[in-house]
Amino acid sequence: MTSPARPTARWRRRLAVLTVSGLAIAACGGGDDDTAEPDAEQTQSTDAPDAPEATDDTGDVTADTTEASSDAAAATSPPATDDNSEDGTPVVETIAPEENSEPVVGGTLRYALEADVNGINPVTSSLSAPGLQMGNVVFDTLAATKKDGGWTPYLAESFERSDDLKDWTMKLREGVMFHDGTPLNADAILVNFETTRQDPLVGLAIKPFFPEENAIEKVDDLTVIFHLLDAHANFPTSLTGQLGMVSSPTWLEAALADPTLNQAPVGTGPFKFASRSEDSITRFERNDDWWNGEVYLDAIEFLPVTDSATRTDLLFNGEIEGLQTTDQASILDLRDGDGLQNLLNDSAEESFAMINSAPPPFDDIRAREALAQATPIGLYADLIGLGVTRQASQAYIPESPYYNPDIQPVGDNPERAAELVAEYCGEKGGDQNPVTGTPTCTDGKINIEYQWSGPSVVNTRIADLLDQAWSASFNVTFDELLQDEHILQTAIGQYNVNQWRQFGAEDPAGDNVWLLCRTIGGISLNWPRLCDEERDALLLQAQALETVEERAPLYQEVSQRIHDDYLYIFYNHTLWDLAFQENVKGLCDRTSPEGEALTCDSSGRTWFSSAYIE
Amino acid sequence: MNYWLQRLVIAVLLLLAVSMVTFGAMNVLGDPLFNILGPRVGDTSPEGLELIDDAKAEYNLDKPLPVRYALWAGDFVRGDFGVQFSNDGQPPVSNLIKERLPRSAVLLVMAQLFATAIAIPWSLWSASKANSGVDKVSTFSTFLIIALPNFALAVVLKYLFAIKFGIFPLTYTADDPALSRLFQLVLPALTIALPAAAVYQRLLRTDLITTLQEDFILMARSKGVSRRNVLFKHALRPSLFSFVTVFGINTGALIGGALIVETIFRVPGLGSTIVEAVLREDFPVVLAIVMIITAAFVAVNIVVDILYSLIDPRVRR
Repeated sequence: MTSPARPTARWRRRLAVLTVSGLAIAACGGGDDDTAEPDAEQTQSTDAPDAPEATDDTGDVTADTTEASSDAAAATSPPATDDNSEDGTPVVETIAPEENSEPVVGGTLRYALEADVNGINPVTSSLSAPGLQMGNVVFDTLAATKKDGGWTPYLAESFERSDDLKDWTMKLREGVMFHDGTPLNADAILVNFETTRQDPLVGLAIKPFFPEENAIEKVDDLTVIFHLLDAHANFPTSLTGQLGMVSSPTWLEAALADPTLNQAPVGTGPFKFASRSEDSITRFERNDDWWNGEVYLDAIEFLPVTDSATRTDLLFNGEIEGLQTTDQASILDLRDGDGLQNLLNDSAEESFAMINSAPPPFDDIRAREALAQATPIGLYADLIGLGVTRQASQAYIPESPYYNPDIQPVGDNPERAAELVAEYCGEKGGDQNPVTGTPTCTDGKINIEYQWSGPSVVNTRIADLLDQAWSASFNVTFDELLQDEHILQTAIGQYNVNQWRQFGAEDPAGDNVWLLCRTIGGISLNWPRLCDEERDALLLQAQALETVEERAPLYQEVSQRIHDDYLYIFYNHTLWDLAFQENVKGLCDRTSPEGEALTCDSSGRTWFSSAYIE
Repeated sequence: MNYWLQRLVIAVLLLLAVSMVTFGAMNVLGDPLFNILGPRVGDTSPEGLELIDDAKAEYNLDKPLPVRYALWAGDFVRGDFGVQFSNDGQPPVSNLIKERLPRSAVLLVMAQLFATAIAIPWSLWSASKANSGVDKVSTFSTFLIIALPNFALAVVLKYLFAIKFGIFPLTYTADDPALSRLFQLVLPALTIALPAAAVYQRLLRTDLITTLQEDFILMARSKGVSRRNVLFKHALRPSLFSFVTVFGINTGALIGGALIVETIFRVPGLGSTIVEAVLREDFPVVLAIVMIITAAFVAVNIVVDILYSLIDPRVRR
């Protein structure tokens, strides 16, 4: 295979800097992109697409995704961010379906992930983007996202809803077998559902939406009914991601007894688990009996490479066929590299600082607003975003029908921050911050802890950048944690403010789990722990509506309420780049059994069922 | 006391001291329950509290620190390293060690072999041309390599030999055949070996220059022994004393260097494992790896003592 041409400027810069000054930061050797942030999707499929009609209003994005990559590349010029606006061009690039090429059977595709995972069990593991990517090859989901938006049955044959939109009857396809020979049937769905519900973290994504009793009902060997607490016009969208992945019940029961089996997943997917050496390589081999057609690749090998520059070098060197990244510097190189294909998408997920509103000092909105006002959002866009990502002010990109144009980013206003801090410390400076174990104020500044997941050079750089601006009004202590511990600390509310990545579901109902009052508890998925009952009412009302036109004003109001509460300091719309060698074909040829074209990238992951190496 | 018995007692005391300090430090630093139970550690319901109590009892976390240490040490000397503190199952630490120790061991052995193979000819060549122009360039080169941090050297080597010339692969893959894996370890081993070779060269060159001024060398020269034979047969062996000493002591530094190099080159060995285990507060893994590294360090230095006695029999007296 011919290696693609590599932009050399980055290497020259790196060598020069290293040899002259010996950048100590590189010693960390860990992930140096912002992808080490927790991906909140680990606990719920929030990337579900909108109903078919939703995409009618997302014209630009949807239309662009069908362009040939060369055309789309021209449409990905760096956005203008200096004025803190969100006027950037939609950053979308896709790979055209193969029309005149005959699939080639055979070959092993090596794919670099941004990190390894603790387990690949969709009902018990907190799956971040790498985990979901591996899950995509070994598991199938009950529903799938169509290329032009909306959902379609996938492992399920059909969905029917009741008039009140609370009961959804799902019929499974006949004759589908798990890799271990266990049949896919209603009992398997029941085991998956109940096991998920029992999990202390993943279960939180289900519990708030189903009754304690009779949440799921078996009708016959292939049919079940989901009984929801609230009306939902597009419930199957929540079955297109982790919650829709179906595992072998035989394996699930064995894995509950011996959790080490979480490393060896068993699903119905196009590839079977073959071997795993943690932190080095996980191998899946072709499932010759896949229910949805022929699989072309012999095998897929996933290599966790936490350093994004190394990941990019591996691709340029021809040692791997593909990778995932959100690192802006890498994306610049990958876009400029000859002989590469890029799947670029910034329509899912936002990067932001998230504030815990439960304990002091951020139980007071003045402290939250002060932090937001003190945040250097302009510098962030320049120094961290590198002109690659678009600045965000809310959970939707400007092309979304749910985007609220009245909301502007907050930040770069240290004077206002100082006023608010002085006011707060004057009144409540003697309160105790339980996270730092100190009074809320010292020497006229608010004491806070800033938490992020690492090791990550970029996350550390972000922390330094924020501290430089925040330190005028805040005494900031830092806490860098491994990703899973960071998520756990956040789930149990042991943080003041942290670096996070979340939101961006095309069907905004997918984000309800992060926002509703009912998901606040000892362990909480409403991470900021702020209950707004009026917001809840809007969210549940919108979830039950059919058309975008009806839903859009409600979600715009929700965005305004979130903005006014100063819970999230939005930085940018996360840009995912899935880059491939030129000879990797067929990535976007995936279809449902009924022949509907399905999406080929979603929140940093793709599917390989239709891929082949030419 | 017998010399070797004395060495053995010191080694045991060293292992005890290291284990106590590490055990104490790890138990002060964090709460392992968090890793074992995951988010359930925040569950304050009666069932949740019962679960927490059960976990404390199962992993001896409800006992005083000295008792926990004694229990751990007793298991350890019997070869039971305990289980990993992970909320995704608690597999035995020994499984992890068995998988990762060979990779680190091979990496370090390769590094020491490379360092020795580079340092000896380099010092002989440099000493034979002492104070000449080429010797000065050589001396400058050693200082440059020693001054260059491991991570920077790794980037330079990666760029030159993997990116620019494409001789070596960029990364290590645990499932590849054994020979491929050895090949993949060449660059990481060189990254560790080059600074070590530079240190060895500095010492050996100095000792060689001193030895070359001894009377017995002059005698050999006057008898017409070739320059090559003088260097290899007469000067090298008596000059090895400092080199062997540093070779042993430097093993500890090389293990330290391996922590970074394994991470940069994506070698899942003990170095990268202990870094993650410390961050994860996975005490049994940290303790096991620290003890293995300490034992290896002690063992290498005992071997060095044996080598002393071979090089200079007076040591045994």
